[in-house]
Amino acid sequence: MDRRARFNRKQPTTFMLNINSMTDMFTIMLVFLLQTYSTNTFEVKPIMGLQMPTSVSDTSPEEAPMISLSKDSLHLDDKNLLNLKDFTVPPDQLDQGEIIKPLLSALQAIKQEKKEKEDIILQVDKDCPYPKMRQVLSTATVAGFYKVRLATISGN
Amino acid sequence: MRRRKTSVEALSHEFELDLAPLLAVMVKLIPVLIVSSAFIPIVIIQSELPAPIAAAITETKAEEAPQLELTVHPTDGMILKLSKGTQEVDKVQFAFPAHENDFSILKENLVRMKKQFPELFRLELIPQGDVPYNIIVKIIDAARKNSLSKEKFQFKNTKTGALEETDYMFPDVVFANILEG
Repeated sequence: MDRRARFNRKQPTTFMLNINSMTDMFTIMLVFLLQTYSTNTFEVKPIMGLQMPTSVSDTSPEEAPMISLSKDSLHLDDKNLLNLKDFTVPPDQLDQGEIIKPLLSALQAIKQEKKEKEDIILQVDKDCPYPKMRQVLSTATVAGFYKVRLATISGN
Repeated sequence: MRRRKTSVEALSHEFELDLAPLLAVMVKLIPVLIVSSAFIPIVIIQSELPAPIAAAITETKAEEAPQLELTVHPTDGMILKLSKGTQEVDKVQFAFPAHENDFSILKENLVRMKKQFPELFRLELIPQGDVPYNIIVKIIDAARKNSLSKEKFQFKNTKTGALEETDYMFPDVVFANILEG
Protein backbone atom coordinates (compact mmCIF):
# COMPACT_ATOMS: atom_id res chain seq x y z
CA MET A 1 0.00 0.00 0.00
CA ASP A 2 2.80 2.29 0.95
CA ARG A 3 4.56 1.47 -2.29
CA ARG A 4 1.48 2.21 -4.37
CA ALA A 5 0.99 5.55 -2.68
CA ARG A 6 4.56 6.50 -3.49
CA PHE A 7 4.03 5.55 -7.16
CA ASN A 8 0.86 7.57 -7.45
CA ARG A 9 2.47 10.68 -5.98
CA LYS A 10 2.44 13.46 -8.55
CA GLN A 11 5.79 13.89 -10.30
CA PRO A 12 6.79 17.47 -11.24
CA THR A 13 6.01 17.99 -14.96
CA THR A 14 8.40 20.93 -15.62
CA PHE A 15 12.10 21.20 -14.98
CA MET A 16 14.70 23.94 -15.37
CA LEU A 17 17.32 23.27 -18.02
CA ASN A 18 20.67 24.83 -17.21
CA ILE A 19 21.75 26.54 -20.43
CA ASN A 20 24.70 28.48 -19.01
CA SER A 21 27.35 26.17 -20.45
CA MET A 22 25.58 26.13 -23.81
CA THR A 23 25.54 29.95 -23.86
CA ASP A 24 29.28 29.95 -23.08
CA MET A 25 29.93 27.62 -25.99
CA PHE A 26 27.85 29.70 -28.38
CA THR A 27 29.63 32.90 -27.27
CA ILE A 28 33.04 31.36 -28.08
CA MET A 29 31.75 30.15 -31.45
CA LEU A 30 30.28 33.57 -32.22
CA VAL A 31 33.59 35.34 -31.53
CA PHE A 32 35.49 32.84 -33.71
CA LEU A 33 33.00 33.16 -36.56
CA LEU A 34 33.03 36.97 -36.40
CA GLN A 35 36.82 36.86 -36.80
CA THR A 36 36.59 34.70 -39.91
CA TYR A 37 33.60 36.59 -41.33
CA SER A 38 34.25 37.56 -44.91
CA THR A 39 32.77 40.65 -46.53
CA ASN A 40 34.23 39.89 -49.95
CA THR A 41 31.77 40.09 -52.80
CA PHE A 42 33.62 37.40 -54.73
CA GLU A 43 34.73 34.07 -53.38
CA VAL A 44 37.54 31.97 -54.86
CA LYS A 45 36.62 28.32 -54.53
CA PRO A 46 39.66 26.04 -54.64
CA ILE A 47 39.16 22.95 -56.78
CA MET A 48 39.78 19.41 -55.53
CA GLY A 49 43.42 18.36 -55.33
CA LEU A 50 44.82 21.85 -55.82
CA GLN A 51 47.19 23.25 -53.19
CA MET A 52 47.67 26.99 -53.45
CA PRO A 53 50.90 28.68 -52.32
CA THR A 54 50.89 31.18 -49.45
CA SER A 55 51.57 34.88 -49.90
CA VAL A 56 51.81 37.98 -47.71
CA SER A 57 49.63 39.94 -50.14
CA ASP A 58 46.54 41.60 -48.66
CA THR A 59 44.52 42.30 -51.80
CA SER A 60 41.06 40.75 -51.88
CA PRO A 61 39.89 39.04 -55.05
CA GLU A 62 37.40 40.72 -57.36
CA GLU A 63 35.05 39.05 -59.77
CA ALA A 64 36.76 37.79 -62.92
CA PRO A 65 36.93 34.58 -64.95
CA MET A 66 38.96 32.02 -63.02
CA ILE A 67 41.38 29.51 -64.54
CA SER A 68 42.38 26.63 -62.25
CA LEU A 69 45.42 24.52 -63.10
CA SER A 70 45.91 21.45 -60.96
CA LYS A 71 48.02 18.34 -61.43
CA ASP A 72 45.24 16.49 -63.23
CA SER A 73 42.83 19.06 -64.64
CA LEU A 74 42.38 22.47 -66.23
CA HIS A 75 39.21 24.34 -65.28
CA LEU A 76 37.69 27.60 -66.42
CA ASP A 77 35.33 28.70 -63.63
CA ASP A 78 33.42 25.50 -62.80
CA LYS A 79 33.87 23.87 -66.21
CA ASN A 80 36.49 21.15 -66.65
CA LEU A 81 38.23 21.90 -69.98
CA LEU A 82 40.93 19.24 -69.97
CA ASN A 83 42.17 16.26 -68.02
CA LEU A 84 45.92 16.52 -67.51
CA LYS A 85 48.66 14.14 -66.48
CA ASP A 86 51.15 15.78 -64.12
CA PHE A 87 50.29 19.32 -65.38
CA THR A 88 50.95 18.24 -68.98
CA VAL A 89 48.48 19.25 -71.67
CA PRO A 90 48.05 16.56 -74.38
CA PRO A 91 50.06 17.64 -77.47
CA ASP A 92 47.00 17.48 -79.76
CA GLN A 93 45.36 20.19 -77.60
CA LEU A 94 48.26 22.60 -78.09
CA ASP A 95 48.74 25.15 -80.84
CA GLN A 96 52.37 26.06 -81.64
CA GLY A 97 53.37 24.14 -78.52
CA GLU A 98 52.23 26.96 -76.24
CA ILE A 99 48.56 27.88 -76.74
CA ILE A 100 45.95 25.60 -75.14
CA LYS A 101 43.19 25.32 -77.76
CA PRO A 102 40.12 24.59 -75.53
CA LEU A 103 41.12 27.33 -73.10
CA LEU A 104 41.66 29.84 -75.90
CA SER A 105 38.22 29.23 -77.42
CA ALA A 106 36.54 29.42 -73.98
CA LEU A 107 38.35 32.67 -73.12
CA GLN A 108 37.58 34.19 -76.52
CA ALA A 109 33.88 33.43 -75.95
CA ILE A 110 34.05 35.34 -72.63
CA LYS A 111 35.96 38.18 -74.29
CA GLN A 112 33.29 38.53 -76.97
CA GLU A 113 30.67 39.06 -74.26
CA LYS A 114 32.75 41.47 -72.17
CA LYS A 115 35.18 43.22 -74.50
CA GLU A 116 36.52 45.69 -71.93
CA LYS A 117 37.39 42.92 -69.46
CA GLU A 118 41.13 42.27 -69.15
CA ASP A 119 41.31 40.65 -65.70
CA ILE A 120 41.66 36.97 -65.05
CA ILE A 121 42.16 35.03 -61.82
CA LEU A 122 44.70 32.25 -61.98
CA GLN A 123 44.60 29.46 -59.45
CA VAL A 124 47.64 27.23 -59.84
CA ASP A 125 49.00 24.34 -57.76
CA LYS A 126 52.10 25.36 -55.80
CA ASP A 127 54.21 22.57 -57.35
CA CYS A 128 53.37 23.47 -60.94
CA PRO A 129 56.54 24.07 -63.00
CA TYR A 130 56.68 27.47 -64.72
CA PRO A 131 56.66 26.17 -68.36
CA LYS A 132 53.26 24.55 -67.73
CA MET A 133 51.92 27.70 -66.13
CA ARG A 134 53.34 29.78 -68.98
CA GLN A 135 51.12 27.91 -71.45
CA VAL A 136 48.09 29.17 -69.54
CA LEU A 137 49.51 32.72 -69.32
CA SER A 138 50.31 32.75 -73.04
CA THR A 139 46.80 31.55 -73.88
CA ALA A 140 45.30 34.29 -71.70
CA THR A 141 47.47 36.92 -73.41
CA VAL A 142 46.43 35.75 -76.88
CA ALA A 143 42.76 35.85 -75.79
CA GLY A 144 43.23 39.47 -74.62
CA PHE A 145 43.41 39.01 -70.85
CA TYR A 146 46.51 40.96 -69.82
CA LYS A 147 45.87 41.51 -66.13
CA VAL A 148 46.46 38.31 -64.23
CA ARG A 149 45.51 37.89 -60.57
CA LEU A 150 47.37 35.03 -58.90
CA ALA A 151 45.20 33.44 -56.21
CA THR A 152 47.11 32.51 -53.05
CA ILE A 153 46.36 31.67 -49.44
CA SER A 154 46.99 34.52 -47.04
CA GLY A 155 49.82 33.86 -44.62
CA ASN A 156 53.57 33.52 -44.21
CA MET B 1 15.33 44.10 14.67
CA ARG B 2 12.71 42.80 12.33
CA ARG B 3 13.48 45.51 9.79
CA ARG B 4 17.19 44.68 9.76
CA LYS B 5 16.51 41.02 9.14
CA THR B 6 14.34 41.83 6.09
CA SER B 7 17.02 43.99 4.45
CA VAL B 8 19.68 41.24 4.88
CA GLU B 9 17.28 38.75 3.34
CA ALA B 10 16.66 41.04 0.37
CA LEU B 11 20.37 41.45 -0.29
CA SER B 12 21.14 37.76 -0.29
CA HIS B 13 18.28 36.94 -2.62
CA GLU B 14 19.41 35.02 -5.73
CA PHE B 15 17.70 35.22 -9.07
CA GLU B 16 17.88 33.17 -12.28
CA LEU B 17 18.85 35.16 -15.39
CA ASP B 18 16.76 34.11 -18.36
CA LEU B 19 19.29 33.30 -21.08
CA ALA B 20 16.79 31.76 -23.48
CA PRO B 21 16.33 34.90 -25.69
CA LEU B 22 20.11 35.37 -25.89
CA LEU B 23 20.49 31.76 -26.92
CA ALA B 24 17.76 32.14 -29.53
CA VAL B 25 19.62 35.09 -31.11
CA MET B 26 22.88 33.12 -31.14
CA VAL B 27 21.26 30.07 -32.70
CA LYS B 28 20.04 32.31 -35.56
CA LEU B 29 23.34 34.20 -35.92
CA ILE B 30 25.67 31.22 -35.98
CA PRO B 31 24.35 29.56 -39.20
CA VAL B 32 24.48 32.94 -40.99
CA LEU B 33 28.09 33.44 -39.90
CA ILE B 34 29.10 29.87 -40.77
CA VAL B 35 27.80 30.36 -44.33
CA SER B 36 29.61 33.70 -44.82
CA SER B 37 32.87 32.79 -43.11
CA ALA B 38 36.12 32.36 -45.03
CA PHE B 39 38.01 29.72 -43.09
CA ILE B 40 40.88 29.84 -45.62
CA PRO B 41 41.39 33.51 -46.54
CA ILE B 42 42.33 33.78 -50.19
CA VAL B 43 44.20 36.84 -51.45
CA ILE B 44 45.48 37.77 -54.88
CA ILE B 45 48.75 39.02 -56.33
CA GLN B 46 48.24 41.45 -59.17
CA SER B 47 50.48 41.03 -62.14
CA GLU B 48 50.44 42.05 -65.76
CA LEU B 49 51.17 40.14 -68.89
CA PRO B 50 52.95 41.96 -71.70
CA ALA B 51 50.21 43.44 -73.83
CA PRO B 52 51.66 43.70 -77.36
CA ILE B 53 49.82 46.89 -78.33
CA ALA B 54 50.38 48.72 -75.06
CA ALA B 55 54.02 47.67 -75.11
CA ALA B 56 54.50 49.04 -78.63
CA ILE B 57 52.98 52.38 -77.62
CA THR B 58 55.05 52.82 -74.49
CA GLU B 59 58.26 51.39 -75.94
CA THR B 60 59.38 54.65 -77.48
CA LYS B 61 58.48 56.66 -74.35
CA ALA B 62 60.27 54.26 -72.05
CA GLU B 63 63.54 54.10 -73.95
CA GLU B 64 65.44 56.04 -71.31
CA ALA B 65 63.48 54.75 -68.31
CA PRO B 66 65.26 52.47 -65.84
CA GLN B 67 64.45 48.79 -66.12
CA LEU B 68 64.95 45.97 -63.65
CA GLU B 69 65.06 42.35 -64.79
CA LEU B 70 65.23 39.23 -62.66
CA THR B 71 66.10 35.96 -64.35
CA VAL B 72 65.44 32.88 -62.24
CA HIS B 73 66.79 29.43 -63.04
CA PRO B 74 66.73 26.47 -60.63
CA THR B 75 70.32 25.40 -61.48
CA ASP B 76 71.98 28.54 -62.89
CA GLY B 77 70.72 30.76 -60.07
CA MET B 78 69.35 34.29 -60.21
CA ILE B 79 70.53 37.26 -62.25
CA LEU B 80 69.33 40.71 -61.28
CA LYS B 81 70.04 43.34 -63.92
CA LEU B 82 69.37 47.06 -63.65
CA SER B 83 69.65 49.06 -66.85
CA LYS B 84 68.81 52.49 -68.18
CA GLY B 85 68.10 52.62 -71.88
CA THR B 86 70.76 50.44 -73.49
CA GLN B 87 73.27 51.02 -70.70
CA GLU B 88 73.69 48.41 -67.96
CA VAL B 89 73.81 50.15 -64.56
CA ASP B 90 74.13 47.21 -62.18
CA LYS B 91 74.19 43.44 -62.44
CA VAL B 92 74.46 40.75 -59.80
CA GLN B 93 74.31 36.96 -59.97
CA PHE B 94 73.70 34.67 -57.00
CA ALA B 95 72.66 31.09 -56.26
CA PHE B 96 69.10 29.81 -56.26
CA PRO B 97 67.94 29.70 -52.61
CA ALA B 98 68.48 26.35 -50.89
CA HIS B 99 65.33 26.83 -48.84
CA GLU B 100 62.07 28.14 -50.24
CA ASN B 101 61.85 30.88 -47.59
CA ASP B 102 65.48 32.02 -47.79
CA PHE B 103 65.44 35.04 -50.08
CA SER B 104 67.68 37.31 -48.00
CA ILE B 105 70.33 37.79 -50.76
CA LEU B 106 67.64 38.66 -53.29
CA LYS B 107 66.01 41.09 -50.85
CA GLU B 108 69.34 42.81 -50.07
CA ASN B 109 70.06 43.32 -53.76
CA LEU B 110 66.54 44.53 -54.49
CA VAL B 111 66.84 47.12 -51.70
CA ARG B 112 70.21 48.24 -53.10
CA MET B 113 68.77 48.67 -56.60
CA LYS B 114 65.64 50.39 -55.32
CA LYS B 115 67.86 53.00 -53.64
CA GLN B 116 69.46 53.76 -57.02
CA PHE B 117 66.10 54.38 -58.72
CA PRO B 118 63.37 55.01 -56.09
CA GLU B 119 60.87 55.95 -58.83
CA LEU B 120 61.12 52.48 -60.37
CA PHE B 121 58.30 50.17 -59.23
CA ARG B 122 58.29 47.56 -61.99
CA LEU B 123 60.18 44.27 -61.96
CA GLU B 124 60.38 42.15 -65.09
CA LEU B 125 60.42 38.55 -63.99
CA ILE B 126 61.93 35.95 -66.31
CA PRO B 127 61.53 32.45 -64.82
CA GLN B 128 63.46 29.81 -66.75
CA GLY B 129 63.57 26.05 -66.47
CA ASP B 130 61.22 24.19 -64.14
CA VAL B 131 60.91 26.85 -61.45
CA PRO B 132 57.97 25.86 -59.21
CA TYR B 133 55.08 28.31 -58.96
CA ASN B 134 55.55 28.41 -55.18
CA ILE B 135 59.02 29.95 -55.64
CA ILE B 136 57.65 32.51 -58.12
CA VAL B 137 55.09 33.64 -55.51
CA LYS B 138 57.83 33.92 -52.86
CA ILE B 139 59.95 36.05 -55.24
CA ILE B 140 57.00 38.35 -55.95
CA ASP B 141 56.45 38.66 -52.17
CA ALA B 142 60.14 39.45 -51.61
CA ALA B 143 60.08 42.13 -54.30
CA ARG B 144 56.86 43.80 -53.18
CA LYS B 145 57.95 45.31 -49.84
CA ASN B 146 61.14 45.92 -47.92
CA SER B 147 60.88 43.24 -45.24
CA LEU B 148 64.57 43.39 -44.18
CA SER B 149 64.34 46.71 -42.38
CA LYS B 150 61.89 49.50 -41.66
CA GLU B 151 63.75 51.74 -44.06
CA LYS B 152 61.50 53.64 -46.46
CA PHE B 153 62.22 54.92 -49.94
CA GLN B 154 61.66 58.50 -51.00
CA PHE B 155 60.27 59.14 -54.43
CA LYS B 156 58.90 62.14 -56.28
CA ASN B 157 55.17 62.09 -56.87
CA THR B 158 54.77 62.83 -60.56
CA LYS B 159 51.35 64.45 -60.06
CA THR B 160 52.05 66.73 -57.09
CA GLY B 161 55.82 67.02 -57.41
CA ALA B 162 56.18 66.40 -53.67
CA LEU B 163 58.55 63.90 -52.09
CA GLU B 164 56.78 60.89 -50.64
CA GLU B 165 57.88 57.87 -48.61
CA THR B 166 56.95 54.26 -49.15
CA ASP B 167 58.07 50.81 -48.06
CA TYR B 168 56.94 49.34 -51.37
CA MET B 169 59.81 48.35 -53.67
CA PHE B 170 58.59 46.58 -56.81
CA PRO B 171 54.87 45.81 -56.45
CA ASP B 172 54.39 45.79 -60.23
CA VAL B 173 55.72 42.42 -61.41
CA VAL B 174 55.47 41.53 -65.09
CA PHE B 175 56.09 38.09 -66.55
CA ALA B 176 58.43 39.14 -69.33
CA ASN B 177 58.90 35.88 -71.20
CA ILE B 178 55.31 35.07 -72.11
CA LEU B 179 54.81 34.01 -75.74
CA GLU B 180 58.52 33.31 -76.15
CA GLY B 181 58.07 29.57 -76.41
